[in-house]
Amino acid sequence: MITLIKCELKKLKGRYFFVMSAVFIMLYLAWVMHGYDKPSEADLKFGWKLLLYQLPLINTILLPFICSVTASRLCETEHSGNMLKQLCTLTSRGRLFDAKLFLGILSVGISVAVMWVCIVMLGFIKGFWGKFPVDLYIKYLIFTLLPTFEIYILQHSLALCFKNQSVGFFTGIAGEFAGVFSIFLQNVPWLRKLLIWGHYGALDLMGMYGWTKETKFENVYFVTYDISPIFIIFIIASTVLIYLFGRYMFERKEL
Amino acid sequence: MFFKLLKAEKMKLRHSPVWIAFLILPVIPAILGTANYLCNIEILKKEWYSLWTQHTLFTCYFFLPILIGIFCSYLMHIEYTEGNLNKLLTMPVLGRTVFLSKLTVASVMVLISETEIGLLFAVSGKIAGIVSPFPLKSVLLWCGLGTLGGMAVVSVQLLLSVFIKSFAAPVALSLIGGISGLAFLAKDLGDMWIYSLVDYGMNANSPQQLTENGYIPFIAVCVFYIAIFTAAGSFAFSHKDR
Amino acid sequence: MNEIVETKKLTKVYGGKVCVDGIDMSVEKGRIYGLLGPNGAGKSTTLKMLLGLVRPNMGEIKIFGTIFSPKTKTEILKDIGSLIESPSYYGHLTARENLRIYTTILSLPEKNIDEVLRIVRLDGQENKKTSAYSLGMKQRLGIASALLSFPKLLILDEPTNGLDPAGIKEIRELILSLPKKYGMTVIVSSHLLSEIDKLADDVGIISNGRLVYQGSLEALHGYDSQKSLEEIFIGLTGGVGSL
Repeated sequence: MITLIKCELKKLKGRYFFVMSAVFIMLYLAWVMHGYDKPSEADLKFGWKLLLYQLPLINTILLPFICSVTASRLCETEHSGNMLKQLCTLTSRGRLFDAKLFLGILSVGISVAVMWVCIVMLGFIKGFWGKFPVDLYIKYLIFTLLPTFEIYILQHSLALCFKNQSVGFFTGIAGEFAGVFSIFLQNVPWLRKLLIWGHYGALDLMGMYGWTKETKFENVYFVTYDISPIFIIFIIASTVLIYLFGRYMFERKEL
Repeated sequence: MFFKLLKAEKMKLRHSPVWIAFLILPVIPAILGTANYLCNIEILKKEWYSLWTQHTLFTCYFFLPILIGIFCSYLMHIEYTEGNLNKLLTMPVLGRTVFLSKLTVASVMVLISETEIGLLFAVSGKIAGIVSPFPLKSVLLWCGLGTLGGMAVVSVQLLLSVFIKSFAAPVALSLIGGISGLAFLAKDLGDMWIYSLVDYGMNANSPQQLTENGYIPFIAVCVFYIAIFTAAGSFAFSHKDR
Repeated sequence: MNEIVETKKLTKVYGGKVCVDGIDMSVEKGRIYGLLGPNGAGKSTTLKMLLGLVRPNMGEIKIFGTIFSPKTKTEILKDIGSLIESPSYYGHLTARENLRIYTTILSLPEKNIDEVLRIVRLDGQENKKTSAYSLGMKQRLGIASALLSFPKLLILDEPTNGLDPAGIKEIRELILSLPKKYGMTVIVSSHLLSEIDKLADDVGIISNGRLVYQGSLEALHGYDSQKSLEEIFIGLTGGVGSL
């Protein structure tokens, strides 16, 4: 397995893979931080909570897309050179699936972690008021990683099983689109729970109330949501199911 | 020759359900955007105009540019696999015609999406029970200008796919483009930057953004972008070693 | 005009490395010209330059008596059929649909498709998706698409790749029949001496980007009567590559 992962790393040579990840991280941070050039008093006062309230939406827009691109980048080489035929005679398909998946998960996982560290640093550098809510931010990190892995495994399966990369991209983009809407649809909370792309929103930790165009932040108050452990188990279970199904489909694929 | 190539492009898309995505994607904002409109009807008071924003906001910012990016990647990718591009370029055709035929196919897809967005908008407005008259003239103008803005994005995405053989990389750039479009729009430069043109033309952000005469410079900007990227793409087809 | 293809000092440099080095090639009408050389000698690059896929750094190409330039390119390409490197096909389409793309572009009648499918013996297989084709069948499809317009000049790069011995013989007989039947001129490249020996009227031998021999096959046989053809070839190419 270790050898296979090393092989995967070697294949990345000359493909600007890490450059791409870096560009995505910068894009993400640019989006998060653009409002903090000259932070208002409210920005600083509610800083930590406001970020937790805003980030799930940005995550829903950007992270699934990063997953689609990463998965496709890792898998498209195999299709273009017909390498799958060769590789599948050298090792079992399941292991090949796992090795590539490991690298992809590692890549998006590290990206999310780097984004998290930078966001926390932003808070300290800009001098957000109050104590840094460590427990909430640890929870937030976990609740960002969980849906990211879930979506990545799906994209990975699609990118490997279909030679035509647009299948994975279209699925990803349609799901992401629905996911973004599901965050706004407060009245249909089951939608974001059902859609894997809505899970960033479903795992939202912070609600903001009392904001209006006229009064702005004057009457704003925040509510911390509790996430039901049953839902977390549901997410983990669906992640495992997607993994098993994707692996099964890849093993059955005719080459 | 152009029409023959166009027909050939159409034949290549047979058995390849990629174009279905252009039909499916507009349905998502139509259903969910209308639902969101109905949920917030107390604050969204501008009837058709409020509904329009619900339908088109995210569509224009991210999803249409990415959709175009994927489709352009696909159009070039089928040529890159199995050496089809070499075969195509040994046909008695000009690089310019090849680029133009692909530009046209993708533009037709954008037009289909825009038409569908317009139709779904009318239907969902009726279902949502909006009583004021349907702003037909505005919707036609928005969808028309949206198509033109979309064609500009098609031209740049095709060019990217001509230079970058990877499927994913140009698609990634289309998202970066979409987000950059948002930034330019925020800085009031939406009528200048190529990735803002769809949002700007479709008035996705705030209705009546475009003035009565505003669309003539808008059309000029779109045509300018399409022309330079088509020229660059044609040059690349005929001058790059294969 | 007896010369269908004539090149003068044709040169291509890739990143400082000379890949094709001042080739003066001349192909006469109605002949089968065999371009022979070890792998990586510059055969494909030379053929790509004849088709306008690669732009030469130096030198001149004359095809059908017209100098090859961006302006004359489309006019010249109308009369050339080609198969370069590996056969190209759209995997999600059937053989017939693939060929129909080219007949559409070239404004050819549907009956040409039936005819070339019959010639390369793919009739009966034409409604199968080409991604499911074997290497040999893909190669036949590639040859079929090169023949589609029954061009004046046919350029085939390693046409027998991936074919079984019976298929090789069949394709060889097909190529041999083309000049008589349709008045075609054929350029065939191969790294296999035995193939060229059985096919060509004239031979050009490329080694390290240089044309080290050009002349009729008989003349090559008589080049050094003491040696076998194989020894002559190895001598000319400096022993680069094996046969």
